[in-house]
Amino acid sequence: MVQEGAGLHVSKISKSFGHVHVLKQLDLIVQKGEFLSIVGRSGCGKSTFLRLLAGLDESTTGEIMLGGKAIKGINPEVRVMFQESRLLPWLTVVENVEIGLSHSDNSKSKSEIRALATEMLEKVGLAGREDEWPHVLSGGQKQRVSLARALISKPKLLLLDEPLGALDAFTRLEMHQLILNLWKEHQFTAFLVTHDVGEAISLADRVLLLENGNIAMDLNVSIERPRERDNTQVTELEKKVLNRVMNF
Amino acid sequence: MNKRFRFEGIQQWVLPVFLIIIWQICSSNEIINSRLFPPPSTILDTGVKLFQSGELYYHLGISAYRAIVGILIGGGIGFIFGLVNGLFPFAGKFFDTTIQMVRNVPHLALIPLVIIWLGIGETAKIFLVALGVFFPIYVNTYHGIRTVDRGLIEMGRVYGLSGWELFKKVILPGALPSIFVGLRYSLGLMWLTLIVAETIATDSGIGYMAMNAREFMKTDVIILCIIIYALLGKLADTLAKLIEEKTLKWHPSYAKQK
Ligand SMILES: Nc1ncnc2c1ncn2[C@@H]1O[C@H](COP(=O)(O)OP(=O)(O)O)[C@@H](O)[C@H]1O
Ligand SMILES: [Mg+2]
Repeated sequence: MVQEGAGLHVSKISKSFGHVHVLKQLDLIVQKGEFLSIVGRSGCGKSTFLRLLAGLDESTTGEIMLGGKAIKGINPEVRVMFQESRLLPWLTVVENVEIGLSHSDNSKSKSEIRALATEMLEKVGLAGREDEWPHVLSGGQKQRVSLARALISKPKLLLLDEPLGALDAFTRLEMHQLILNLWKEHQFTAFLVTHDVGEAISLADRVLLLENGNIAMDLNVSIERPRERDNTQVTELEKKVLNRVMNF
Repeated sequence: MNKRFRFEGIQQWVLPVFLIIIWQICSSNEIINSRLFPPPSTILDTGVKLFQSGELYYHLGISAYRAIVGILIGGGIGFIFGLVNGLFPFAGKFFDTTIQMVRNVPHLALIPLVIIWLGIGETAKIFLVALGVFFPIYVNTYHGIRTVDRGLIEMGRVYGLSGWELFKKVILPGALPSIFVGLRYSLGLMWLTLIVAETIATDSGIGYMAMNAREFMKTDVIILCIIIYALLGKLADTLAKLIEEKTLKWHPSYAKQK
């Protein structure tokens, strides 16, 4: 069973835009530190669900509890990585990472903040690029900065809304490795929305299929990590999920 | 590399210098009428004399004063209205249509009215300049604020930025490129308005100097005034460009080789 106050409890949340009911009485319990992937057809409400978790929108009904506290509005323990890196072009790389910190914490001095941001950039493989402008970075590098910004405040919950969708295959594989390493190190709970079922399975502990405003399939992936792309178990699960999505 | 760069710096001055030399030769040899086209040397002479007598300095000071006060008032009000209307949709709905309607009136068409209302003193000129620069600054500030990337604002909110912090870190820098467009455009309008206003109704300033010189057929003074206006315009534009380059150094189009 889930420990009291440790994980994420979503109970009976619904979200409607006018008379479009996007989420209907969705229930979900997530253990602390679990890695979840969410798949589903375009427009099924994945982003809507993440926006509720992030506190960017309010659910029509229902409640979301993180670590025993209800999520109401923006929460410094929840961070989001978007499909676009959304770096501020007028701040340098390291200043962009500092955005992730300066408001959750007033106890640190400027130089401490700079040191933390520099260290975080090192962790995402961008040592030495601190003082560059974002526009000189490649798409993958921008997403690394965005990841550093999201993780510098050590959030409990990291939401990833198709953050790799615009990257090429090699960069994606690199990013998978990076995300998994940081997840192991920081032990946050992760939600990854992706349209790539293979990616969902090779990264997550659990794969959720969102359909008709609810969770249509909740699949445990108990394959040892590291998981190769052509691992037979991964391919089997991938087939299973794809069939479930397509044959409905 | 270096040599070539230096040569390119000189290159652009070759033609103007050549033209001035031709002008000097033609005019001092009466190939063209030197009363209508006094040679550059005479104009320079006049400039030095007027400067030494303090007259040039006096009129220049007054013109600069009008320009600066006018753009501070008009630009300031335009900037504030642009901010408020851009930031608060309610204010935008309330004010914007009215302002856009008034914008269609050419402000120089108001000169007769302004003279009746305010006379030909300082207030009238400053009012006209302020009115002229108000609209470009307003329109571009409003537009700049309204078109800041929504995604960046949302990102800012996720990271706990709100109110003043969100404005300072995300909205204002995002609107700056557009605000600068407005500023540079309004600098041009500022001189134009001043020239017209000082020429039509005034008792001091560079425009007055030119009009006064016309009475006595002093073409050298008139041409001097025109050149001074051109230099002032260039100066203002260069200044704005410098500030812009410093402020927008993050912008890809200003990205400089380090
Ligand atoms: N702000 C909004 N207003 C109205 N409808 C919305 C809004 N946001 C999302 N929707 C609708 O909700 C549905 C789910 O959208 P979304 O969560 O973005 O889907 P996806 O699973 O592709 O991320 C879509 O039909 C979309 O049109
Ligand atoms: Mg989406």
